Amino acid sequence: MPDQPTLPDPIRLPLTQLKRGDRAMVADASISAEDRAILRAMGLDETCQFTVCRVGSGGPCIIQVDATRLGLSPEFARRIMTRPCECPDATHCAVTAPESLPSGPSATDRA
Amino acid sequence: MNEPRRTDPARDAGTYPASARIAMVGNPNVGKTSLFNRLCGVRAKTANFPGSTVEARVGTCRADGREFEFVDLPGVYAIDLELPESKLCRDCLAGRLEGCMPDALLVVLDATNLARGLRLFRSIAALGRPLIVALTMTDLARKRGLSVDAQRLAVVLGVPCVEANGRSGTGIDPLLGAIAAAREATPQLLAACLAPSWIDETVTAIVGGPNTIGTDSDRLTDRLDAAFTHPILGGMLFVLAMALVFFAIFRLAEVPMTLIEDGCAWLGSTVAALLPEGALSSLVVDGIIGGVAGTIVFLPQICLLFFLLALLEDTGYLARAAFVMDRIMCRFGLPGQAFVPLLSSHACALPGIMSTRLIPDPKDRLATILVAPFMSCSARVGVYVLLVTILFPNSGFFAGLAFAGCYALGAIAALVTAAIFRKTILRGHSRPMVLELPPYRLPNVRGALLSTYDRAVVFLKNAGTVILSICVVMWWLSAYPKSEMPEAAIVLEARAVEVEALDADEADALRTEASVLTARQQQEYSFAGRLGSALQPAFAPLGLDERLTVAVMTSFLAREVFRSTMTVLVGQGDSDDDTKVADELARATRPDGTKLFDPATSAGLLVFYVLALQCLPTLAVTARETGSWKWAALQFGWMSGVAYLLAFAAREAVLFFGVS
Repeated sequence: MPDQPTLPDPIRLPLTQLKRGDRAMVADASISAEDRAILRAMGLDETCQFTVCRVGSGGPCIIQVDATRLGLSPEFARRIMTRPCECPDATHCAVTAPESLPSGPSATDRA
Repeated sequence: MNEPRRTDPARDAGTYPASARIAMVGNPNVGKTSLFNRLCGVRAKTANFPGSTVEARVGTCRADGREFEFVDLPGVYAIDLELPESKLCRDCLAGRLEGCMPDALLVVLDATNLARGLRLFRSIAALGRPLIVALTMTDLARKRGLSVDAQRLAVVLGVPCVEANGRSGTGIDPLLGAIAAAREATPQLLAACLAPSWIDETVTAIVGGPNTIGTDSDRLTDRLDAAFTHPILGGMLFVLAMALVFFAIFRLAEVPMTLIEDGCAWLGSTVAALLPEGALSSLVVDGIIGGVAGTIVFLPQICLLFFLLALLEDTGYLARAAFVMDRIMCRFGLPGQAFVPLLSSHACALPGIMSTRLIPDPKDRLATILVAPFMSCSARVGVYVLLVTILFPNSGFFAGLAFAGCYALGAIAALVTAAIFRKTILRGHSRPMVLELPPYRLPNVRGALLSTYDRAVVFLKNAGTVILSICVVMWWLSAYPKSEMPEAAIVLEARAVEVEALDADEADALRTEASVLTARQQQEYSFAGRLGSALQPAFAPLGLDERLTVAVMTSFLAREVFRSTMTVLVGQGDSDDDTKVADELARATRPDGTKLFDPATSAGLLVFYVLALQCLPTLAVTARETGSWKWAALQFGWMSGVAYLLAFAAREAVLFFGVS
């Protein structure tokens, strides 16, 4: 059986490295399971796209999920890895993404 | 074990009972409280349920001859989170609050963020309770170009669904009418909503798809967010906003505070004239009226603070400001939201502690409550002026510097204490600094007034129960046992009678001197005075003699008592002139001829008054807000200990440098 072609790893960037106007999805987060559950309940899970409204300059990172704006402290936003989206017209990518953030131990938990 | 009360049998019979309890659940910022205010108005009160650090509001509403009791639960993103507000919702929905099961659940969904609301709905529907849905923010959703179809949502969810707006009042009557038709989610719906695509499909069916349409309002919001959350510009705007709030509080509260003071003084003198002189008159006038007046005089400041904060919160600004202050406060283990309560404590610790309800994380809130009384409140100003004037009688510059130093010392002590507590007794994971930023909008004055009324009622209840009891006990300690009139005072009175016909002024002076001697004897003879004498050895390292110890002990009731106690104990009549009183106290001597207020003792005393918790109403409010006297005791013990140690250090430092 011929070898399957290896797909390149999707680009992953910390939330703080995105630019204003970028659309992205959450890929992973080095945060506790409790914080993960809060983010998921606030609507920020791996099934949704968000738009970056403000980032950098020492202030909070502001993103928009649907019509809701969420502000994240830069320290917290730095721990959230994102996957830039190539389908700018969609808000939810439920088909291509798992139902929720991974429930296994995060990088921080493992450390 | 007590089973929760169920009213389902009445429902099974096809009708609601005469009184039905409806629990309101929804995400934060969906307009749930506006809806509750519209339904219940002033017929609502804040309920602190036992064992819970968060609160719900309970109110009643009559419609079609039936009475509905609404419970406005705190906004939650999910009911299964390990957060206090989620736990309160779980307990209420499971009938564990006061053993009373809600008859129906009113789920409030935001049409502009239906996906998130449906996630919450899905978990609530699984509880198997009768449901009604209120769809809010439909006007905003339509502005964003979304189609909103409440009828279709009712069909999809299988429960009544009504468009309602708490701000404008539209949809309230249909909503009340729909309550009688509340029903449980069908097994088919419960099965269907578990599918991963259910939420997306439902959102598409009801509002025409996820909200991706940008508007002019989004661009304006972007600009305002950039300004309000900017580290420098945002900081300056925040300082300006707070300066305006506190200017308004001090300026506008002045007149009603004077009216309350004058009213209480009039009431005291009227009651004193009506009652025969004696223990009952003293209890009513000095203990009850005097004690409660000292607390309710702050009511105008409290009302103004909560009204202005409610307006600011409603505009959407406070959530942005929290991020600006978070950068500074997080170094001390406090969240950005702690800044407003700490700043409010400069006016009075009571509203400062009560406003910690803005802080979502319970440990952050507790830490803020515990350190808030370190901030120099307006009641301390009188003592600062007195001691600073004694310390620097001829140098306005150093007096000003010392005055500012008092404020700085209080603030530093608060922040350092917060950092210590967060690393020791309040150690643990804090909620991440992630906040929903509500849309900018004009504030709802009606909602702010209702919220202020609610806070005022809570404060007055506290003043009328716990604080009143404390005042009566403290009055008793300083009024009993009664001492005889000292012989010197009897002689002075007799001389006053002799000279009255010849020189009325001389007679008045003699009588004043006699009453000062009598008051001094009573102070020393009372339980509080005896306690002061007994504790004098403990305060000797701070340079306090018996008189100063008694003054410090009596000012644990309220620190402003220090001045009047000292003027009585040193033998001078009280006066409104600060400089005159300071001069007289500065001249007072100890039995060995040395100054009573020498620089070392005065500096130590000043530090003690900056840091000590000498305000019983503050302890009562801490106990109420934390739900336990344990925290009030810790606050009192910690602040007294820090005050004692630093006062000792300050005195020793002055002695070391040989300042005289």
